[in-house]
Formats: sequence, structure tokens, C-alpha cells
Amino acid sequence: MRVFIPLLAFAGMVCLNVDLAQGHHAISASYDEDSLGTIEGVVVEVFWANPHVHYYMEVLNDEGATELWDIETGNLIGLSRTGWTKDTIEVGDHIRVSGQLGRNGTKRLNLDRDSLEVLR
Amino acid sequence: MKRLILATCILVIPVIAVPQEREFVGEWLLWLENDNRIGVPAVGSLVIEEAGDSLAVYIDGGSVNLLELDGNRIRFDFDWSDLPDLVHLSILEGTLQSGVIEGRATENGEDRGAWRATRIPPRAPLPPDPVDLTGLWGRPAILSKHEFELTEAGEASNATYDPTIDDPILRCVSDGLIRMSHGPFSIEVAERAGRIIVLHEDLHEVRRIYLDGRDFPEGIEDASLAMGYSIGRWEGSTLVVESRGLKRTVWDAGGMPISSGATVTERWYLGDEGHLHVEFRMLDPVNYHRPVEMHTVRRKRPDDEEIMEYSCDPHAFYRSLQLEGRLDEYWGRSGSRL
Repeated sequence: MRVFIPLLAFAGMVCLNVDLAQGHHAISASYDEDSLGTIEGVVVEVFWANPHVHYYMEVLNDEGATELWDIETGNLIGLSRTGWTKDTIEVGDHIRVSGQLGRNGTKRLNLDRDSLEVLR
Repeated sequence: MKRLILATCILVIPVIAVPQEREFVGEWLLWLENDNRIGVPAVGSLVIEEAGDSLAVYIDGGSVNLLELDGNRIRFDFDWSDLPDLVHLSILEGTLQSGVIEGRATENGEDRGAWRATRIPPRAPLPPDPVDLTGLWGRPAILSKHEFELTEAGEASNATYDPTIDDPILRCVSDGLIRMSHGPFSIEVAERAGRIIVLHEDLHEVRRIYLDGRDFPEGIEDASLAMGYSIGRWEGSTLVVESRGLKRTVWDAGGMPISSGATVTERWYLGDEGHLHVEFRMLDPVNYHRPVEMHTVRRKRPDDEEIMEYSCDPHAFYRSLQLEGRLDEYWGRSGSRL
């Protein structure tokens, strides 16, 4: 596992492969489009269903404590059109991912699917 | 003599042809080359009214700021929200010539494509002339106007809405006729005797539009239906649909309330390009000072393409609330549940 890497902030999300169909939901209310981050850890739960797929991941913070992060991505229809399957990320995978961070310090990340690194 | 007439025309026509500013007044069909959401052309309504010494400009029923008016040139802003629900401000600048306003849209100085507006002709009564609206239709293009003028009750309702906890779709609850109609999903339209059936990809919601001449059921105002009770009739080749009995909900994920007393009129027709156009006009005097409008344009999809199922499980919503310590807040907001 590896620690949360607080990252840069830059305007816009044009280079992020987040699912625009999520715009059906108030993504901007939950995530800060100007605050991007990368986290690394082990997937402990996969929620493979609509309205959005979620991955729950254990991440070591700077103090050495384990935090549970909620990684959110698109709906099943949108994902199926991009070739993203149930096997892409599985429980037990050690992964590194980037995306928009949750507002107000919540441990959430709106997944940039192009950022996925499976380190298993 | 002919030369004299020609010379006179050349000298005089440019002077009398310059439209006065009041010639902008009226109802226009607004066309934008870039719909701002999925990058295809979209249309909507542009209404320009006299307002004292100046003009008031409305897009889809919401006011925008008139920035400049000079002879036959006009410039106004346009607030709109994109799919991730971020708000943008475009500037539309155009010239009125030969009954058409044409120009370019920009945002932060960058070109966002052409726009034009043509006058909406008065509607004459037409005998029914049904057309085939059936088939699979893709995601809609819309202008996506962001702000509308709310009444005091509408402001109060909007102020209490929290999109991270009150948005019905988070609980897999249907978000209603308006939002189902402009969400980024396909629809399939089928028809059988006396009714049109609309199958929404979004939440695999189903809607029936009755064409058999029936009236609204008694007590429909209290029915609290997600998609409303809809009856339709043909005016020429346009299907006109009236819906009542809607439940209280929001216009989109970001908010904008819709009361249970709201009524919606839709006009379904095929454009010259073969796309499916639906004009929505919602009357909700509880929340809005003016009718709110929306115009969706969908392209026909091939018959062998499939609409997909969208079953939904709210597990992740409650899991997130639990992780963030907000479950008690959620239970405490039962009164604002949509």
C-alpha cells in the first residue's frame, strides 16, 4: 500500500476521463473540479451497479493509519461502451488512481479512468 | 430612367433597411451550433420583450443580460450548465438582417460556434396528420439554460435542497418527466392502438401517452406521479402532449424545484433533418414567475441498436453517507425527501 499523495489543482477537467454521463448527478456538488489527487491502496469492496460503480479502497495516510476511500466512476451503460468491465478492478487489487477529490475533505475520489495503474 | 431608379434604390435601401432596435421584439427559435453538452447543434426559445427604454431577453424562459443593443446589432450573455453541472457563461453577439439574427457565440473570448434566431410563425389550427415517431432515439442535445427566476416559495425550496443528499436518483428513485427527458440517455418510442409508449434507458422508466381522446382522471392533481399522466393529440404532424399529476421534484441534479401542481405541454415533431424535436413548456406558478421551457433534439439510431437496461441499487449512496458520518442528517431530512 502507499500513502495518499495530495496533488495539484488545475482548472478544468478536459484531460480527465471521468464519465460525463455522471452529469446526470450533481458531481460538482460532491467533488472539487479544481482539486485533483492520486491515491494508492488495496481494493476491499467493489460495488458493480447503477447509478454509479464504486470501489472502496484502503489507503495508508501520512500518519500510518488506514483510511477507507470511496472511488466513484460512471454508470454500467457508459462503462460498457468504453470496455471497462467488472474484471478491470477486483477485490484485492493493489491500484493507484487519480481524479477529482471530494469537497470538504471527504475521502472520495471521482475516478479519472485513464489514470488506473494496477500494481497487483 | 432605369438607371435613375437603380441609383435611387442603391442610395435609399440601405437607409430604410436598417432595422430599428424594436424589430428584435418577438419570439424566436434559437439555434446554437454547439449544444454545450454533447457538442451537437441544439435549439431553444429566444424571447425579446420591450422593457421600458430597453429590451428584456429570455432564453428558454429564463432571463439573460442584454449587454449591447445598437441598431441591428445585439449582444447578450447566456448562462448554461454542462453535464458535470458546472456553470458557464457564453456571450452571443449577432446582427439582424432580412428577418434573421445571426452571429457567433464565445466563452472567455474563445469561439463556441455560430448561432442564429428565426421568428416563430404564428400557429394556425391544423387537422390531424400523424407521422411515425417510433424508433430508437439517441441522447438529447439541449441548450441547458442554468438559471430561471424563482418566486419567493421557489427560492425557499431551492435554498433547502442539498444535491448530495436530496437528489432522488441517488436513491434510485425516478427523477421525473423533465429530468428523464433531458438526461444523457436514449429513448425508444413505440406505438399501439390509442397510445404512444416511451421507454427510457434512464432507470428503464416507462411512459404512456394516451391518444384515444380520454380526459385526465379525477383527482389527478394528487397522483404524485414521476412521469405524470399524459394525453396527446395531433395538430398537423405535431404531437401535442399535456401532462399533469407530477410529483414534487427538481429540474436537474443541481436543483430548481418543480411543484406537484406543475403542468407540462410538449410538442413532438420531426425536424426537416429527420431528428426528433420535443419542445417542453412547464407552468409552475408556485416556483417560477414565467413558464420554463426546454427543447430536446435527438438523432435517430439504427434499428439494430439496443436500448440497455438500467437497473439501480442505492447501496453506494447509503455507504457514502455512513463513511462520511451523515446518515443521521439523512434521516433527519425526511420532510425534504423527493
